[in-house]
Amino acid sequence: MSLILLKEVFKEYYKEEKKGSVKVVALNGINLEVERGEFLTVMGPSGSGKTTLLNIIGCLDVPTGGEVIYDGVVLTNADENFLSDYRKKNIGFVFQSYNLIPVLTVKENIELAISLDTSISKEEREERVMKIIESVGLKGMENRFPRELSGGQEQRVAIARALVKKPLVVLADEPTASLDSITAEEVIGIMRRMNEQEGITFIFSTHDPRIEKYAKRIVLLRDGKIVSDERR
Amino acid sequence: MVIKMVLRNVFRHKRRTLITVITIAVGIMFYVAMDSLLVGTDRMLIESMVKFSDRSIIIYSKEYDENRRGFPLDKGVKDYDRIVEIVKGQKDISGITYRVRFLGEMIFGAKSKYIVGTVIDNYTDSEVFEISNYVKGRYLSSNEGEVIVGSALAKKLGVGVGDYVVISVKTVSGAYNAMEFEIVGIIESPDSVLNESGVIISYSSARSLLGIKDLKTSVHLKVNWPRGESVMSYLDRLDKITANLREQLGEYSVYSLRDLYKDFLLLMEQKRVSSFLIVFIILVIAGVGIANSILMSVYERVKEIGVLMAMGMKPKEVRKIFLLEGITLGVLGAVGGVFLGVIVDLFLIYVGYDITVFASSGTELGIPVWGVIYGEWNFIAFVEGFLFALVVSAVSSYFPARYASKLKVTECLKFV
Repeated sequence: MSLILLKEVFKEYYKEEKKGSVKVVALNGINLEVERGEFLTVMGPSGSGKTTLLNIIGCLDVPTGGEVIYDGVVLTNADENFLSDYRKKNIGFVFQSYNLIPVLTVKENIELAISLDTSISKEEREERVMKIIESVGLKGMENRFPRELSGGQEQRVAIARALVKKPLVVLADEPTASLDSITAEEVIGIMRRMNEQEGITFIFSTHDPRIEKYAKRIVLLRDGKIVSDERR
Repeated sequence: MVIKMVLRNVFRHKRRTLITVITIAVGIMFYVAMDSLLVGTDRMLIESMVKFSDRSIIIYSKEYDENRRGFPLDKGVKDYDRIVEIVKGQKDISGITYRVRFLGEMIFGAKSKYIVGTVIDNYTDSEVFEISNYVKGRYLSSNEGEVIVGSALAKKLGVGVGDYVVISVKTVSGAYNAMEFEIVGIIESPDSVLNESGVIISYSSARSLLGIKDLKTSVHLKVNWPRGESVMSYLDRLDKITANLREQLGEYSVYSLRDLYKDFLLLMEQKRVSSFLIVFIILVIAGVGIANSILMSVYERVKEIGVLMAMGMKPKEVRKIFLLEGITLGVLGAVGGVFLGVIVDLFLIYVGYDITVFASSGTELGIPVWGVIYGEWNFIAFVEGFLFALVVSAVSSYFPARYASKLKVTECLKFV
């Protein structure tokens, strides 16, 4: 069974302009099947629908048409509370500008992601947090605040935060756009390692050729449609 | 984790937090101080009625009672001795005396002023009232032609101890009479009315001036009021004793302080409402501060809200974070307010607030007491102020918190 299945997904909305409201078709009948353990990159020019697609895969937004099925669970008509719970347990996010909580330390930022899930005990939480801190190379920096970290370190925290809940999938929106080449390579390396060792599924939206280099599959979007789907 | 986030966010903008907390604290401090002064003023006022004008319980003959606003001089208490016998059987009553009130005019040179005179019994009055402690000069002797004059009245007439004044009255027979008196003392008491128009003479003078013999228009009873007993508790106790006396003295009118000053006591309650209104306005201003503070916090953290929601936080949990931040501001302000309130209260209770520097009499300020006003502890005011601050902070942070919880996660994440 596919991990994620998108059937004829549409996303339309109305944009207010001077002339009046204009209908925008952000996604135009997307069909996509993602298997477990994929390292998939969604590419395409600005306005092609990459972020909208990621938002729908990430249960942050709902499609105006079609079906979204996660691990056999149909999420198309799910309400906001159900989607929140689903995200809490199954989906990790990594953002371009890291988006760490500035008042929390490295450890607390990571812990926050699983503290929302009350089914995880305190001991298990502690163990998972320390393990992930070590695996992303942040040992010794647990008690630092985001303002005391470099961009690369912040992004590592963001990756750790996404991975600590052992999600079905990690969605990363331009994760290397704010990083220099060396740091970007390091960050991609971490994600690739997690993909290979832990079998975690990664889906990126990016323009970065450095990610393209590592991608096992590249989906190209244009005008809300998939124009190519290449497996490597 | 959420509590940690809330507390750290509250202190993220120290200056903003400090201003909001100070506003709340000052609001509560004002409330506590005003309440303390009002309760203290009320106590002083009741005490001045008790100590100088009427005492705790007052007894009139029915005939006098019907016309008492005209101060009739021919309708006194007939069997005073029977009243004394009955009163002696009552515990808590520690003194009994009698008085006669009269209206007249005091003349000094070309100046004259209307007066409310009191005839006192030299021997028993000081067992019940506390006039002698507030007299500058000396107290009345048994000699005829001596008078004690209220301080404001003396000032208006330009007289002092040793001066001679003329008092003109209508006697018991309806004739007009005037008599010269030597001012032996000036009374400056917390009772504003006594200071402004009161004169006190003895029975020996009254016999010549008013033509009365052993007339007793009112009988005054002293019921002990231990320090620490609240006004209301004292008034309740007086009511019980009064009810008991009424049963035994059916032919007389027996009044407790509460009966005599019903309107005034109602006014006391209204004063509390107006003080609550003032603190309400101050705390509403603080509430706007809290709402503003939380709303700014929401706008600054739109992206953070998006991240929390993306991680699986539900809208109601986001609302809880901002609501808790507002309530934390309220709690901090309330704790600060209670602390400041205790300090101000201690000052008001032990040092007091001297109102004599603002005017020459209480009436000028619209205050029925005079001198140094002392505050009074009122635990309820602290509780009310604290709870009110919490309610205001919760209400004022609810709307920005609700706004935060209604934000769309995708819009938040786009926010720059």
